[in-house]
Amino acid sequence: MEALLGGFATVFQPMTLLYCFIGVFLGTVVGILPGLGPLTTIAILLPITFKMDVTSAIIMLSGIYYGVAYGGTITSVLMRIPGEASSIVTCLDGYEMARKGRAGAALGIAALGSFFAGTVGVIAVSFLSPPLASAVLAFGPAEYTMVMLAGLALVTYFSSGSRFKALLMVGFGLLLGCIGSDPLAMTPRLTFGVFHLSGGVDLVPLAIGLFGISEVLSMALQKPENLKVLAPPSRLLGFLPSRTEARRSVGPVARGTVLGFLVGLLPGGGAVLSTFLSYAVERKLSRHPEEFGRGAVEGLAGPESANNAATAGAFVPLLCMGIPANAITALLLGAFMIHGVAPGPTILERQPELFWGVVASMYIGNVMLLILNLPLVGLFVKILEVPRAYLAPLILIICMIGVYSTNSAAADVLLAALFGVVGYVLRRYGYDLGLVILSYVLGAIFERSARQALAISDGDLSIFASSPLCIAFAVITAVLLAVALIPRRRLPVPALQPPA
Amino acid sequence: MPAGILRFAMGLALLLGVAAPGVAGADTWPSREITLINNFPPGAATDLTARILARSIEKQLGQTVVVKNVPGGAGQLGPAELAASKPDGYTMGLVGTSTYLTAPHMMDVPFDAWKAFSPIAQASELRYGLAVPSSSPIKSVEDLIAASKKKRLTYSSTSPNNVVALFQLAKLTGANLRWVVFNGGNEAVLQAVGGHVDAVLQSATEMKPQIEAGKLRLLASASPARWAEYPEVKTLRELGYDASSPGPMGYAFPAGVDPKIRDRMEEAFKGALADPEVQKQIQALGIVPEYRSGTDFIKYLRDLQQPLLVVLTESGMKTR
Repeated sequence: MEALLGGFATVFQPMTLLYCFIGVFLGTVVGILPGLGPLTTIAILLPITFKMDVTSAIIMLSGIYYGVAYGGTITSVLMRIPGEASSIVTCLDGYEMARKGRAGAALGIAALGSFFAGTVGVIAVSFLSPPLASAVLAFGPAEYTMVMLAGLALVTYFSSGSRFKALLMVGFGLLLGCIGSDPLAMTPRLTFGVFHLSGGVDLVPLAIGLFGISEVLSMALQKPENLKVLAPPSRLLGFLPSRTEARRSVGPVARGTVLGFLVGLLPGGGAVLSTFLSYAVERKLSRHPEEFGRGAVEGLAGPESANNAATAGAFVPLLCMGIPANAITALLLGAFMIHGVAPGPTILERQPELFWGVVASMYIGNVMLLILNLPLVGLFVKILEVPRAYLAPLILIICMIGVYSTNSAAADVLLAALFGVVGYVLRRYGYDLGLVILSYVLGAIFERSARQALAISDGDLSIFASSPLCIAFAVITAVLLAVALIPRRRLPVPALQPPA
Repeated sequence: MPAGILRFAMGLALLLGVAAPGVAGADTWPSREITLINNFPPGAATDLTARILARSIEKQLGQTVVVKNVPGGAGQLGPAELAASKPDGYTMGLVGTSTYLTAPHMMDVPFDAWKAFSPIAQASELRYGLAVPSSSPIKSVEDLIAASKKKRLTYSSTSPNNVVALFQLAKLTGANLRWVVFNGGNEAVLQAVGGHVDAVLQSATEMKPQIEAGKLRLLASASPARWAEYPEVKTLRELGYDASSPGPMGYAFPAGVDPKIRDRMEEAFKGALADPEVQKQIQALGIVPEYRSGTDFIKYLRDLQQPLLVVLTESGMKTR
């Protein structure tokens, strides 16, 4: 506790506060822009920090990382383009809320939920880091395989409507995940001789194509009289959720926070996965499952909290073990190393002021983000008043720039356009696009882990039941599947209703 | 007629200005920003190295050097783009063992590395080490070999050029070792720390923090030289096993670039790597800043062809 207060003392210096603010502000902006992600931003800014002291540098760069989860929401809610991969799920119900004139409330709930999750996440980082970090070590290839299996079982809850259509989309996602180099032998698969595909289909063109570009297409192909669906909020304090919305958000935010934090701890899992899991859980628990995909506030509040908590969770293995949970924390690790600090189990003994400084800056940064985001909600929502005829091409341009900037590859732009058309057709016929992304993400990790496990065990399948963790996740999978088979009384509804 | 002269002078200047890059490229180079292609995502050790080098080259040449990340294609999309770009001295890129020696045997790359590039210089060398979890009963390379003869042991590592040393070791001693491929270096190290594999062979960048924290025991350096941080730990060669993993990283222009431009850039790399500040920053990443001229770099790569081919053939990865 004393150490944490010492950390606050570090942060409350004017220059450090300024760097923290620059970080979270940039993070919000980058989050809003699709494609341009925290990874690129941090890498570009890294050389600038060479001359700064290490604590300020890390505080600023971390600010970008957790600020992004706030900004990503805005594009998802207002335009149905995932500003970041971790906001893909938000496109489903956040955008539907905006169509019902609840855009302000959606952004408000997302910001408040993010704040809650971010803060709880940081508290967990402060007090639980060392024990949690060693728990991460228990996850080997076999355990990962079983976790991903449980994740795939959750797919049953994510979908609604026709099981056949859902399965079709899962298959499509799994197939997409197989494109690229074989994870072990590195031989190209399903690339059809196209060299660009040998690295696989990137998540960014896939997500922006399926969600963003398909939305532009449906805008363009609608009758003009159907276009005025998005109603901007009339009240001055339009970002305040109604009493019902607030009450319905409490549970999802709390569950999303816990789930997000735990998934964020796992290397390779991270923010994207946590949002899908949270959505699936909320849908199963909800008393209004028929509203999901039609602007259910739970489907927004849960995942938006989960992605922020996951961001905080990823700091645990990074700071305590020097192990990055994803590409962004790997970059932060590089930043530590350039500044001559090796994060790891020794960081608390050797550089307590750095560790606690960064943790304290995350408390402050989350407060800054809330202050930054709430008043701006009104401003962002004004975007909805722009006539669709101007908005649609603008969205298209932003999408394309975003896709190009990820890999500097023109082929990705073509891919995104292709997925845009595919996405439009699938939405038109009531297929659930979220499932494609979910199974694409899970399938790739599942295959790789399963094959690594089998390489270790010499093909002996018993490795998948070799640890208590494996068995626990096998039981979870079985329960999930069994519950799913219990007949549902409610009427099935398509998750993504084609617009009007 | 001052106005006429002025107009003539302006016209001439315009003409020269337009014609200059085409006619006298080498003399005016560099007259605009230079792009440096890195084959991995932002934040990879190679990306950080490229940014450190770019800053130093900028100062020497007086032009901006922009790092462009072209990840994907298992690290071969970048070289493919480099091979297809104009050899005008404004695009250069990262080339290394995978570009020249491993990828062409594993996938259909749209270039012939030996012909498509004009190497500028080698800038760095990755250092590799062989380690076991600190809880392991294995205390030495000798123990590892003996234990593997009783029960097959597994080790984690990311790419074919990392594991050359252990393939050679297995061949020399009859050790029974299985390579488990992991995607990222940090992931490979984590699996060893968690005891899911028996050993790890990875670069210093990823292993150093865990060794320092006492989670991993470094058995030997798998590079030709010892690690500067652990001078008491011998190399595999010093331990009597003729085995080591190569890790040179260099930069190249597309083939056909003006030799004068290439020479000038080679000099800039030499200058960058002689700068103690640059050396310090690259070393902090766990990478050895090591300069070789373009000619020496390509000769070094040629010498590595044979040992790598053995790894690819024996692991079943050679498909082309």
